Parts: sequence; structure tokens; C-alpha cells
Amino acid sequence: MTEIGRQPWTVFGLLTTAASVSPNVSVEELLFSLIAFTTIYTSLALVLVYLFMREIRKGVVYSTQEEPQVSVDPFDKGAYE
Amino acid sequence: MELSELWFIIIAVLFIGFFFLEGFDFGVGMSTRTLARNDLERRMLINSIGPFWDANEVWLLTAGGAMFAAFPHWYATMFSGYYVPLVIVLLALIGRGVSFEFRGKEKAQGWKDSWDWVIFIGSILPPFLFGVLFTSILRGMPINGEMHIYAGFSDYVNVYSVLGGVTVTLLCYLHGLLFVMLKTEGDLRVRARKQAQKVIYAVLASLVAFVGLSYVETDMFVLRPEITVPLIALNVVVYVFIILLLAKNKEGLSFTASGIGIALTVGLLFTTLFPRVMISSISSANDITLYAAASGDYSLKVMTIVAVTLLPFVLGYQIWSYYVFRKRVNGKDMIY
Repeated sequence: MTEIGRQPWTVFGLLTTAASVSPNVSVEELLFSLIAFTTIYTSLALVLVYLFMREIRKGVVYSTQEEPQVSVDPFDKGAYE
Repeated sequence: MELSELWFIIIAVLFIGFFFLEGFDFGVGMSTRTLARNDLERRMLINSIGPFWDANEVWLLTAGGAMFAAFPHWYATMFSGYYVPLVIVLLALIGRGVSFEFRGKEKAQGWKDSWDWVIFIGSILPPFLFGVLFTSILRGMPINGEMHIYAGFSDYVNVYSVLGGVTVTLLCYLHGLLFVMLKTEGDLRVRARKQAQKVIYAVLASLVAFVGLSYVETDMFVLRPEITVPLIALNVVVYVFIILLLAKNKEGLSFTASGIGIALTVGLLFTTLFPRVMISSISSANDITLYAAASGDYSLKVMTIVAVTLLPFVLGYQIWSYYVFRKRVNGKDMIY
């Protein structure tokens, strides 16, 4: 929405979109990056959905054990042993 | 000194910080294939850089951001001219970043192996491509009068730039092995040392070859040899010194020395570049100097104030994180 509404400006009143295009970046290069980014984001999104669903199906596990008392102060000698 | 010159130095320092810090986690990423023999060792390696790698990467973002804000013409020329290589770097870094988190989420071996390969490729491609990028900038790119790079394949990929890429990759790899020595225990630590003792000769050979080709391909020895020659000599001394340090098993010192070596190498590139930010292979009239590329004085003034105010905090929390995670990774209680 913001991108469409701003047209024909990149920076409103100062820089038009036509003037901000890199003339030396070819259409093929842009297509390559567009396809690459779309592919990687889509596949990562799918993996994420899969992992989310798996975690949700597992349900909540209530621990009956009491949390052991450990110091979280990194300057404390016993911390991160 | 003008503010623009100060910002050129700041950007050089940011890139030095990036290669110093992310350099070792790239190296550790490479060693997941070359050093680790099983899944446990691979996990130990990943855990050794687990708390640090993302903060290290911020140095690259800051360097890019500083270029964008302080030298918009430098940023525009370089990032448009190197569009494809930088897209590949970005893809590699995206893949690498998620792999650290995802690899342990499934028990299946195929799942882990796939993400491990992404970590390896994502660790070896960025230092190589950055090496290629910086050396080809030093060699000169076809920049026209409008500050645009219209480059062919051989402008990006040639003997000199590939050698630069290999050199940077080897520097990071050695740095990573030395970090593994510092941060792990047992067999892994011993083997990291053995491998570092071999890799160091490859590093020295490739550094010397790189400097030799720089003499032919660039004006490294013409413009200000009184600085570059001592830098090179010192660099070679540092790496020879690491051979001795490794023989005596001085882990902390050899890691520090390799950090200094990386700083000297990146410093050498920026010293050769100064006061230009991009070199034109068409005509020296098309070279872009930092003065021509800089933002207005007011922008630089605001940036300087903001940077000086925030820098102590950023440095503080990064040092803090190294302090908190100072223990060696022992193969137990691992997160990744």
C-alpha cells in the first residue's frame, strides 16, 4: 500500500521512481534476485509452518518437577557450570 | 581532518571488525565439514559460535549502513555494480542464519545433513565473494562518467580477484580453527591445532601471491608505499609468528595474532583505496573520491554524534556476551 500510494515518488517530492532506478542492473539480474528471494522465503515459510504445526500437535507438557535453584548471575561462580 | 575522511576510517574499522569477528564464525562454519567427524562434533562447533555469530554479522550491516548514509554515491555505485554477487551473499547469509536454528529441530539425519550443508556453503561463499569484491574494486571497475559500473564477467572474475577471494577465505578459515582451539575441549581442540598448523602455510603462500599480483594489478606500491609496505611486512611477520605460537600451543595469543593479521589485510585494502572509494578502469578521471561521494556536512555531523553516543553501548554488550559465554563447549548442555 505505502509503495503504491507513494508513486511516482521514491522520496516524496524529491526523487522520482524513474530517477532512482539503477540503469546498469539488467532485467535478468532483477528477475534472478526476485525468483531467488521468493523461492527462499516461500520454502523457509513452509518449513516454519511445518515446525509450528508439529509443536502445536505435541500440546503443552506440564512439568511436575520443581525448577532447580541456579544462579543466573554470570559473575557468580556457579553460573553456567 | 574532515568529517568525510573520518567516516572513511570508520567504515574501514567496521569492515575490519566484521572480518575479525564474523571471520572466525565463517571459519568455524567451514570447519563443520573439514574438521568435525560426527554429529556431536558438528554440534560442538556450532555451539561455540552460537551466542556470537549474529552480533558479529551486525558489523557488516553497520558498515553497509554507514556507507549508505555517509557516502551515498559509493553505496549506489558499488551495490548496483555488484548486484548479483551481493544478492548471492545475502542469500547465503539468510540460509546460514536459519540453518543454525533449524538443524536441531528434527532428529532425521537427512534433515540435519541438509542444513549442515547450507551452513558450510553459507560460511564459505560470503568471505570468498567479499574477497573478490574488494580486490576487483582495487583493480578497478569500468566506471563511466555517471558513476555507473557497466562490467563484464572478467571484471568481476579474474585471476587477481579470485586469488583475493581465496586469500580472504583462508584467512577466515585459519581464524576459525584458532577459535575452535580456544573454545572446545578434547579431540576437536587437538585436531583444530593440527589443521591450523597446515593451513597457516596456505595462508602465507596465498598472502604473498596476493601481494605479488597486487604489485602488477593495482597501485598499492605506487600511491603510498611508505604505509603499505610496512603493513605488508608486518602482516607476513604476524603469520610467521603464528607458526611459532602454534608450535608452543599458545591458543589465546595465536587467535589474537590472526585477528591482527586480518586487521592488517583489510587495513591494507583501505589504505590503497584512500582517498578513492571506487577506482575506474576506464579513466582515472572517473574515479570516485570520498569527497565526491560524501553526504552533506550536516548529515555527517548528526551521524558522528549518534555514532559516538551509541558505540560504547554496542561495544559494551558485545564484550559482555563474550564474557558471559567464556566457557569452553564440552559436548554437554548444548543448545543447538
